[in-house]
Amino acid sequence: MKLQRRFLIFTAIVFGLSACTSTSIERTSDATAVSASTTNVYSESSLTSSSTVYFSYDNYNIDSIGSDKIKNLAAIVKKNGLNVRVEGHCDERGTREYNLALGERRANAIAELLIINGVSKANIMTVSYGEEKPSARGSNESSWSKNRRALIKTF
Amino acid sequence: MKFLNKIILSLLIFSSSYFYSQLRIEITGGTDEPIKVAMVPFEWTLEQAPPLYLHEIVKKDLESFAEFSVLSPEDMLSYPTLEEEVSYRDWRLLKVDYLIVGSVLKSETEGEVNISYSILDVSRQKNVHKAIMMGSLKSLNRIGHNISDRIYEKINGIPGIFSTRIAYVDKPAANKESYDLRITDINGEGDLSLFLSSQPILSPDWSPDGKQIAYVSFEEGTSRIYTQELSTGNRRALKHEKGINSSPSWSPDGKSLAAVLSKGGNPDLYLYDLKNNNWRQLTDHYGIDTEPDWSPNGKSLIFTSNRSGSPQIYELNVSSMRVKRKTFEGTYNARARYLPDGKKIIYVHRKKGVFHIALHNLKTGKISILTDTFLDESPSVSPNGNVIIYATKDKIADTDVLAGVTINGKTKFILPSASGGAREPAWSPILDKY
Amino acid sequence: MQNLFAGFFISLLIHMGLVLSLSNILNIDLLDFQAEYSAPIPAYLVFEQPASISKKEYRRIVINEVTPESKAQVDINEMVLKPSQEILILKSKTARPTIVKEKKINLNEKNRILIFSSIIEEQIRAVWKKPIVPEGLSVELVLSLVPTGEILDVKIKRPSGNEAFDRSALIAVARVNKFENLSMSAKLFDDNFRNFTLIFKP
Repeated sequence: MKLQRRFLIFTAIVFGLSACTSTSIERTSDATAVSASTTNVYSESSLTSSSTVYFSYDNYNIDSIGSDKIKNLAAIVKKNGLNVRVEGHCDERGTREYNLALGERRANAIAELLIINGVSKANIMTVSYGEEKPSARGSNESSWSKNRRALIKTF
Repeated sequence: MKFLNKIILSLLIFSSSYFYSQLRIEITGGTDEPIKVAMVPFEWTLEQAPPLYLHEIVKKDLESFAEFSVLSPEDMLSYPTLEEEVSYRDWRLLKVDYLIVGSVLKSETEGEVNISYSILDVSRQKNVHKAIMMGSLKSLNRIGHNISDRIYEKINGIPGIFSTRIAYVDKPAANKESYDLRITDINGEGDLSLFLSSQPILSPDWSPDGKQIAYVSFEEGTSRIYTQELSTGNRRALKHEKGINSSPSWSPDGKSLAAVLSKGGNPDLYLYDLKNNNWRQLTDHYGIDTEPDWSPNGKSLIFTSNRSGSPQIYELNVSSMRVKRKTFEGTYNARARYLPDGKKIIYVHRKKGVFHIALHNLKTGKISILTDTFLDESPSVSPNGNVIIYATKDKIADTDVLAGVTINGKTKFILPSASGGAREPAWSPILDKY
Repeated sequence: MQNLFAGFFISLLIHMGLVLSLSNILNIDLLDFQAEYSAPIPAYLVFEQPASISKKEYRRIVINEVTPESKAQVDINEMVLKPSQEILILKSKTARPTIVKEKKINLNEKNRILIFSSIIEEQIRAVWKKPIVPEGLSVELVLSLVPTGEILDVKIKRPSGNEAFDRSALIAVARVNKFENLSMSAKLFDDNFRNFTLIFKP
């Protein structure tokens, strides 16, 4: 797919197109498309801890291992007055945008449990990455199960 | 009495001839044989040979979806470059339907060429189309694709797509932190980067005039929709709302974008007014509503919703705001796109745990599965409605590749990707309309 | 277009009324004007017989349009062509042979028209290469033949609006150039095949 970095836009003008036989004269010209760049606003430099909760397929229920993890985490967050960022992730099966919605449900489920355990809503931020940031490559259940997760990051 | 009889009869004949009095024979469906085209090597009067001669570029284009049978120069009996030189008998012998002859001549202006060509109907010995073009030798490829488009439209009656482009997201398998929004010509030429980021990019969508692309970027740590002008590289960020900001779909009039926000607690469809920079809510349901796509006439949107328990395709009438479910087969139907006629849609359909691209006739309800690759997603339709490009997985190499299939399911192809991470193709509208 | 249909319909009604009332006054028996249909014929040509010289032949025959899969393949050898018989047998690849009874119609002629129509249709189909074109198009051509089957002239009667599609039909006709196996009586030829309409649908 990658052949040339150069890009040409071709414009043409047609004169006298008739029904059956037609003659046209055209001129072509060149122009280029331009690439944009940006600096990423988000950085993880102040990250203090990160823990992961795994989910089963097409599901956002937190199992007992996960809820124990969150209980402990909530206590630390409350004690140190930390901010929490919850990231929801999915495996690669299904469409990207639908998975983005599913990832948000996972992040929201974690956020709810944190609130139940006493963390203030104002200190929690959720984001869904859908299937865009897998932690394991490969199209098999062992990779998929690692990718169906929520990351809880504290700052 | 005989006289009166005649009057009656003449009256009857008169009235029936009004409509039809002739025998009518209806022909439905012809032969399955492809249309045979002969692309005679064009006359070339320049000193240096190009990487690919014009007739070679056109031949390659016309062969790309296996719709035509293109005669090889070795099999030709004569090599005319002008209409006057054509001996039609030669081409009738070879059962050629359309003959294309032409020349690329050196221009007086440095670096320019004069191109002329004719499309000839061999059976009727008629000139179908004749064109004279001037252009830069450097853009010979673009000119070639443009000529291919004309030939295609003259013969097939629908626009050619050889000058169109595909936007896609490239995430190299080797680099976890590189997301690249790129565009390429459909033949793989002119591939270039539009936007590079260390955070995910998804859902590119072309503006109807082909001058801008809308997409989602996570560069701020959360999803946000941007539009970017191709000619300048200028980016514009849409007003951000809490939660998901995603899945942009440009309205056919270019004035607004349908998209998904989850600021209300769950993903719903919204409409963004590009002039006034504000969001207007379109759907309100506790289920997931996402992946909107505008109907070509701008009157409705199709989208994915799990309001029935599993993801299915729904249609929203934008004026009446009425929502109608469109898919009932299977438990996973998502990310639908309209075909240009607005009468059919394509979407991701799961059958026995496998994801494929399905074509669905909205009128008859007929569904056909077009693909047989692995984990097929993100289908996008060519602007002439004849080809679908989609993202799939090369299971053996464990790479993301783009693949294509013609709407009749007959021709399938894979577009290999150098980085092993091509995904989310979005087919441009017709760009160089002559 | 709507005006044309309405106009035609009204004119038809008036003419029919005229014919019937006149026939009553003049004591002409027009009972065999009506034909009875027992079943649609699995053929895909539509034609209407023009009102012609003999009153016995006043009739309207409409053969139902069917999908290409159930097209009738008329085999001349299988045809029973006895003028006295009131039975028409059509042999179809997909549909079982259908027997159609029609009262008081000169079936011999109808048989022949059907056979020759289907001969023409097969020869066109074999060479017609359909372009892709948008759905729902149709083009009508008028063909003029000489008794040997040679095509003298072809004109577009009603274009489809798509140049490529219209051309494909013209090419198909040009490729046929001369219809084979059209040996028929001069009267049958003059009445039906000297000029006829071909309708191309994708």
